[in-house]
Amino acid sequence: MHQAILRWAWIPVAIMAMCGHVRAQAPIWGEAAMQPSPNTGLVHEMLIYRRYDERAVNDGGRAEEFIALTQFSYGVTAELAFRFDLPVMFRNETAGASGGGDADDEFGIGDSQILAKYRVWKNDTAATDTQRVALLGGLVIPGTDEAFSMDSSSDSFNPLIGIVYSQVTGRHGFNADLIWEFDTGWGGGSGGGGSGEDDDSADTLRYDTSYLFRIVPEAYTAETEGAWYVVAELNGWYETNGDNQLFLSPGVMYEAKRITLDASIMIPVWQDLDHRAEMDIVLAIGARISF
Amino acid sequence: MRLFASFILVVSSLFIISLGGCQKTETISTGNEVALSETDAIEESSATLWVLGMGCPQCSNNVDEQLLKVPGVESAKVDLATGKVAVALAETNRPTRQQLAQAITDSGFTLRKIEVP
Repeated sequence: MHQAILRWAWIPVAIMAMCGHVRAQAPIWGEAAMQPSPNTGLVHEMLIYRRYDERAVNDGGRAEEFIALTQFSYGVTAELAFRFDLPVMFRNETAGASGGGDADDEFGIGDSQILAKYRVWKNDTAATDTQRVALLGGLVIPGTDEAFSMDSSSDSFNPLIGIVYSQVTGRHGFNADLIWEFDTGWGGGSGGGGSGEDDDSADTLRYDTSYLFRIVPEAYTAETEGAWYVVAELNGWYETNGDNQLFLSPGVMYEAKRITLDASIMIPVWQDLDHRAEMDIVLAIGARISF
Repeated sequence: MRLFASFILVVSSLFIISLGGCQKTETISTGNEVALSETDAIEESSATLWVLGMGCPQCSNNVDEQLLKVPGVESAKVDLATGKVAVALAETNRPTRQQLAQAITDSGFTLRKIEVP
């Protein structure tokens, strides 16, 4: 049973990570209506550590995951960009008292994702101020290892749609997104419901909001080469099977012209889960390099 | 199901709103500045572009990259504080104002005006 729970337990955070960002004043976990310009690309590498609530793992056992998530983004036109996400996972699980403390390691590739981002509106109001809206469409592709499937409810090809709004006003940045993932059951997996462990089949709504504040420099100059930001995010997750998760995710980010470094911690503030184990904590560091 | 319907409604509404925004055209100043429709090569060795919406260092890199792809652009220096982009042009094969404007559009920002000395 614990394997079944763990199979889905890390999904929300993983997909949040998958749906990362590609441009400046963008949050660490949520989306932003920013994208690479035509014929330019961006690689975002994230190292993520996740630990589950011990009460939910095999009678007080321990479960940890280490993820190397690679996101490759490429601008096609000024409005359209694509992104491909590939997570490589390692999971270490130690059973609790009833399991005799047995350890179990797994290594594999999680669900990948193709995401298209199309900016439908922008309003640049001052030298540093902008408002943008982008539509999102994509496909979650099942991973090679079923145990590392990243979709919310089944090992299937799941389309997703969404919308994201971003605003930068001076030192302040704001982003909000809504993303709906349809559980299709295509390609195998649990499909549309059933009984027992297959009951976790469900569509998923992800919602994120974020606030970024530029702490240094206070004001840009002609010589500005980089900037430091503090980030506060709320990352929510709802599944039509009734599961809910909400995280508060503070972080820090340094952004230069070609590289961005970020670090964040995700703290669960509300978890109401019947189909997955609760998360204890998530840590992440990342680097983005444009080319 | 109700949640999904609400979500679709929100997405549709925002999309319709955003379509309205897409119809807005950029206002380009004239006078001492130049009209972007001009297709003649710039005669001067430099130009100054005033750009809106660059809120970060990577934004300026976007502008740099796109401008340097334009034949005849030798360098571009962005002042994030003012949105001013100083462009140095080659001695020969200089770009048109339209090419410079297109580079700013491609970089994802809004060109307010182009000035030449």
